Amino acid sequence: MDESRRNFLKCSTVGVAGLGLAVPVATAIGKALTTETLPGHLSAKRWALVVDIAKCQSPDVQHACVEACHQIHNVPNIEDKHHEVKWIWKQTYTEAFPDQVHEYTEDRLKDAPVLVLCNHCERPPCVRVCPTQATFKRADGIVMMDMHRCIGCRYCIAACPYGARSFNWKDPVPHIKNVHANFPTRCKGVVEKCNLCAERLAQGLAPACVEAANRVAGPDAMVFGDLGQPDSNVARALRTRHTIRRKPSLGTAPHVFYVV
Amino acid sequence: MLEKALEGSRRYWIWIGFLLAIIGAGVIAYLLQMRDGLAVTG
Repeated sequence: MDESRRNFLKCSTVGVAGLGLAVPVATAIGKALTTETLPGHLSAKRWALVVDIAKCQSPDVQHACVEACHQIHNVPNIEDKHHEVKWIWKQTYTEAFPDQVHEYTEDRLKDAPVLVLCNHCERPPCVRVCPTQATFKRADGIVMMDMHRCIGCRYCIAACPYGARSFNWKDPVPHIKNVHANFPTRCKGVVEKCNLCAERLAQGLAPACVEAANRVAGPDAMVFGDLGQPDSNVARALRTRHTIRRKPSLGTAPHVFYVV
Repeated sequence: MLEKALEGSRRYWIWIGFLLAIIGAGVIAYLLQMRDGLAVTG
C-alpha cells in the first residue's frame, strides 16, 4: 500500500514537472515555426491581383505564366481533360465573364483568351463548405489548402463558381516533367488550387505568374500588391483604371481584378 | 449452421460459383481503385 502510494506520488511529481517544462518549450517551438518571423517576407493586409486582359492576351504571355506557375508548383500535365490539374489557365472572355457579355459584345473581347486562376475571394464558398477546414482563408486574404487535411470529398470543387480547383484523380507524380524540389508534390485523392505563391511571398518574391507576365508582356501586365495600402501599385491601378471581377453577382468578392 | 451451406446439389454449387465470381470482380475493382485512384471510375 505504502509502496504504491509512494510510486504514485513520484510519478505525478515527475509528470507535473514535465508538463511545466513542456508548455514553454512548445510555445518557443511554435514561435520559431511561425512564418511571420522570416526576414524579407512580403506581408499585406489584403493581397490583390490586377490582370490586364489586353496585355495578357498573347499566347506567349499566357504560356509563360502557366508554365512558370505549374513548373514551380509541381502541377502535373495530364492530357485527359477529365483528370487534368490546373492552377492557372486560359478561358475565353465569354466563359470567364458570362454576365459581362451580350449578343453585341465587341468581337475583340468575345473570344479573347483570358488568364484565370483562383480569385482568392473575400467570401470564399470553398472555405465554407470544406468539412475538415483543409481549405482556409488567411488574414491577408490568400485562400489556401492544407493537403494533409484534405479528405478528397470535392465539396469545394462543387462550391467554387470559377472552376479554380482540381482533383487528383490519380497519382500526379508520374505526370510531372521535372519535379521541383522546393515544393511538395501531391498524392492522389486530394484537391489542389492556386495558393497565390504563398511560399514565394514568404521569401519576398512576387507570384510566379506576375513575374512571368511582366517579363514577357512588359510592366503592368499584371499588378500585384496590398490593397490595404492606399498608395500600393494595386490600389492605384484599381483607382485609376476600369476593372471588372468574375461573376460579381454571386457575392464572393473576388480579389483578382481584370482591366478590360 | 454452416454445414448446411456446405452441401447441396450441382445447381447449388454453380450458383455459389457464380456469386463468388461477382464478389471476386468486385474485389479486383476495389484493389484497382485503391492503386490507381478515383481515375478508375472517373
